[in-house]
Amino acid sequence: MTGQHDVETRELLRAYHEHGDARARERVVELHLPLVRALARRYVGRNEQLDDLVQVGSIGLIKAVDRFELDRGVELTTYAIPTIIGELKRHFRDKGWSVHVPRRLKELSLRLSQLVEDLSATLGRSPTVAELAEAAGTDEEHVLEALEIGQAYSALSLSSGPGNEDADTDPLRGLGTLEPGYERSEDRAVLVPGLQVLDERERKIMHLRFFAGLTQSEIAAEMGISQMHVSRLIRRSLERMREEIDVLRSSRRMG
Amino acid sequence: MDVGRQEPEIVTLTLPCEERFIVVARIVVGGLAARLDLPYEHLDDLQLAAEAVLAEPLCAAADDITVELAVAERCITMSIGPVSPDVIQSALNGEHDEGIGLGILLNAVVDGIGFDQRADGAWLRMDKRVPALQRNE
Repeated sequence: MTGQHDVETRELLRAYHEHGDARARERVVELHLPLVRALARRYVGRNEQLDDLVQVGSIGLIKAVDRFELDRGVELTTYAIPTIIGELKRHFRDKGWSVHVPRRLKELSLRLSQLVEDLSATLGRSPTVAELAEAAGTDEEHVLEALEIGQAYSALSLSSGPGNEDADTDPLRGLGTLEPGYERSEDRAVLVPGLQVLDERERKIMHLRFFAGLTQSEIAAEMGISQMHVSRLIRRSLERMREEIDVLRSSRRMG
Repeated sequence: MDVGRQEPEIVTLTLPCEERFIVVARIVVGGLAARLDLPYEHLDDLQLAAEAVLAEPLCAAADDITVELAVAERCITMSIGPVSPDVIQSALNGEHDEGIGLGILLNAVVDGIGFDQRADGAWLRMDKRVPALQRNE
């Protein structure tokens, strides 16, 4: 993206957000469709046509344009990329869940989170797969399948699960902001560029797991969420960081 | 599977170096760890280690990469290779990394990291201790 492109985008966003100029909104979306197309191209080959994926990604772009705050001090592309990728991933997750996953496995996946908590409290340690299978009244293979499904479809499973632990699905909620205590953290290593794409809670979890050396159970206790939810948030955070870094590197290569 | 044996039992899985196959490695690692009665949290750590290495760009020295799991008494050794040692070493050191860095990540989830030189090239070795389980019977 050129400097002129950024200036034009900023002017259009100002016209839209401050004066309600719908044509400016359309123009911003139009200007960034090549970005959507570039990101959508990475997901072709999963029984989806590029044009369909561009449509899905465009929804993410429009959300980013509508939610963008001019005074955040970041460019629209920084804000839009994870939103577009998030929309594409949600598309595959939703589709995958509804088409491929048997209901009993969905239900088992949702039950396992609570079983892990209950058994951890009873046993004083994280349960084994065999123990989970016994408690769930099923076999180990089904537990393994359900755990795998829980990771692959975490966004959907959690949003429909008890407590709605994962209600905040805006990938850029908290971008550019740090909770006060966390900003004062002694371990400044956690403020690596890739972590900036995560929200406050995710950054804190990553800090506790990888820099402070806490286990998932310890983090779960500190944050007041389940161990399995910590596991899912770690994976989702790592995945989002990889995507962000990948896009950043691609952008640099393109100059 | 008898984890008390002196000689390690070995399971290997060779995959194309493509992101979409990482999930296959995760399932195999999870399945094996379940057979060893590894607590869920340890199982998850081992899976995360495999995913992190396989997701590292250009980590493999060839088109395919092999995940080898050696099961010994109270320890699982996961070796991945052949890898490009320069790329992996750089990733372990966190060079050019805007993320957490492979070294920091692996140090949090496994108990030991090293390199082995084999006939086909360098292999990254990761050890995960298997805890003795306290059972509330």
